[in-house]
Amino acid sequence: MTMTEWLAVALLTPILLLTLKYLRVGWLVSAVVAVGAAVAFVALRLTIMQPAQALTTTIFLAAYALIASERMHKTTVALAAAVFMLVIGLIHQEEAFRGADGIEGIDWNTIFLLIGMMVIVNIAGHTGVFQWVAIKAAKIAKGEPVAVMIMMSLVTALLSALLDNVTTVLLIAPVALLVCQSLAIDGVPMLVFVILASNIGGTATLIGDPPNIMIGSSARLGFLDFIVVNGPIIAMVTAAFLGTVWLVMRKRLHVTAEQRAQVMAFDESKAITDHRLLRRSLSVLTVTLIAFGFHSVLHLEVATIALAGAALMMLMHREGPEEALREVEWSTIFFFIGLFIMVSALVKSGVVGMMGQGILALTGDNVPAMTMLILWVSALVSGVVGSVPFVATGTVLIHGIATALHPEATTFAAAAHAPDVLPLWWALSLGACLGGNFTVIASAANLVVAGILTQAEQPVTFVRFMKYSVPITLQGLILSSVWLWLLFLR
Amino acid sequence: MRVRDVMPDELVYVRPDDSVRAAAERLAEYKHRALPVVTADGKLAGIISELDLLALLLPDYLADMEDLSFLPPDFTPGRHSFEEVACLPVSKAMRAEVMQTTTEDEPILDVIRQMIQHRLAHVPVLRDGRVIGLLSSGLLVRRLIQEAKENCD
Repeated sequence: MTMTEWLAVALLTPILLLTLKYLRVGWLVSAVVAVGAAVAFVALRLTIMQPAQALTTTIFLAAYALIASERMHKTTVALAAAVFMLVIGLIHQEEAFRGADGIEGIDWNTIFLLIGMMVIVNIAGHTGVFQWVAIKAAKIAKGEPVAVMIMMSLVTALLSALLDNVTTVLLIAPVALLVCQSLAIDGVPMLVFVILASNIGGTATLIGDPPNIMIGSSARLGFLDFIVVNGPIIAMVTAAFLGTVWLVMRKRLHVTAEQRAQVMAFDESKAITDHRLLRRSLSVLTVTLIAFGFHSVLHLEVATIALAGAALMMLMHREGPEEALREVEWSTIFFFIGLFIMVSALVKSGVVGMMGQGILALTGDNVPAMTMLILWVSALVSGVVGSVPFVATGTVLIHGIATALHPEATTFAAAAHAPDVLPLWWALSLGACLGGNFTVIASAANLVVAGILTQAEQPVTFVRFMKYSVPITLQGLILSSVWLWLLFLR
Repeated sequence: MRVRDVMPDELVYVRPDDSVRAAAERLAEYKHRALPVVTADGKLAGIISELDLLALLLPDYLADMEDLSFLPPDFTPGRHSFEEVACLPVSKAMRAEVMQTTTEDEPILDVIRQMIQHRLAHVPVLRDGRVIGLLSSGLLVRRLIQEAKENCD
């Protein structure tokens, strides 16, 4: 390290500390992030990294630590870190926005797929169809508490597989709480099961969960690939999850006939607020989902199909585009954009390549070991920093491994789809999506439902959430390990 | 016309630590739609309206739902019956962030602007930082009737 670098560290560490304190991050987190960043930079510099590499990695780690601390909004952190990297020239705008040799840049396929699906689902959400499904589920269960939990989880899993998890739980959770109120049972287990079901169900398809969208886009894996590989295992994980719910909860809940009768008195036919819009949005949704199934035959990228669905929905919806676009979760979109820029800078610096080499050195060319490592590490790290930030890095990391394993491959897809690379993508998908269940902060849907529980004055603590989530997540990961072994590693 | 020309003579108010039941009774007694919440030293603590009282009956997690007509008619979410909320203090039910206030000397047209731009039905009147009255859109409409000619011919 040069004198200038030591000076810069000595100068910038207190500045970072005071800036974070000024932004109301709190002394402890500010100090941990600032001192941690300084230590990380010096350690990386003195061991293996060039100045730009160490700086990029340090900014990256500090941003992820701040995101995990939840003291600042994750979108603000990601965007600020990304812009800082652009301003000081760690990555150029052109490389970040359009990609360059070996750098993917902002993945517009993911961005526009997210936007398109948000438009479609938000318009459909206004029809009351989600409430209809949730009430129907509770009534099919005849108001028996355990059966209601199982039915509610099952419909959440199915809807989450086809639609955005956050919208699904946002519309299902209040109805589930109303049912709990009628039965006079604690709302926490029911809503935690809705969260778990949502993340499990979302794993089944390309469009079910944001990590899968990123993986599909990055690995050039299609809608049907996800159905074929993730579909069967998720059906099994869901069955095991519901079986566990039944075993654990069946003896605990007792309700009276009157309370059950009150659930049966819910009138689902009145939940549909706009029949015309319902018919239209369900047709658009069906056409879009079918088109997803055939997107590789049609030679269309998934984002094109999602945008086509969104445009069709706008054409049919009387309220006009302002209404439809207002409900796009722009904060989520910019979170992704920030992450993509940060990750591009990390790729450009060569750090990702070094990490890929590191993993290869650790596991050799032992593909089963690498697959299991990725599956379990993805799940654990996603539980801490959230699944989306983790997968943003994970995809480029697997690219690094693919290029290292197959320097001879002429196209990107050839390396990514080689038999010894393919299981890694699925391990990342299953690990990160199922790992989104580990903690209450691990994915967006979890935070939404936790917010609803707080509003209902039945807040769920971090630890209580884990009492339910950890066994279910471990169970899912064990099943996934077996599945990946059977499918790819035998 | 200035605020003092239309302001009611009597100040009807509640204290932050009065009960929700007391506020509801006072609203009904004076046929008002909102009351200023005034501290012991005469400062404005907030406004409590009929809608704020009704909002207590609707749990927060249902406030964003677009439709509740599927519920059975006798459904009451726990802890949100009037029975349960009647004993809460007014401070839990009022809106504390009152941005728009006025004084006696302001032209009435400025109060009307405040009401329209901010979609408000009530604007408290302050003198030296102490509450002396509450202007309501209802009061202004009644004043219009007095001002207008007998009929429209």
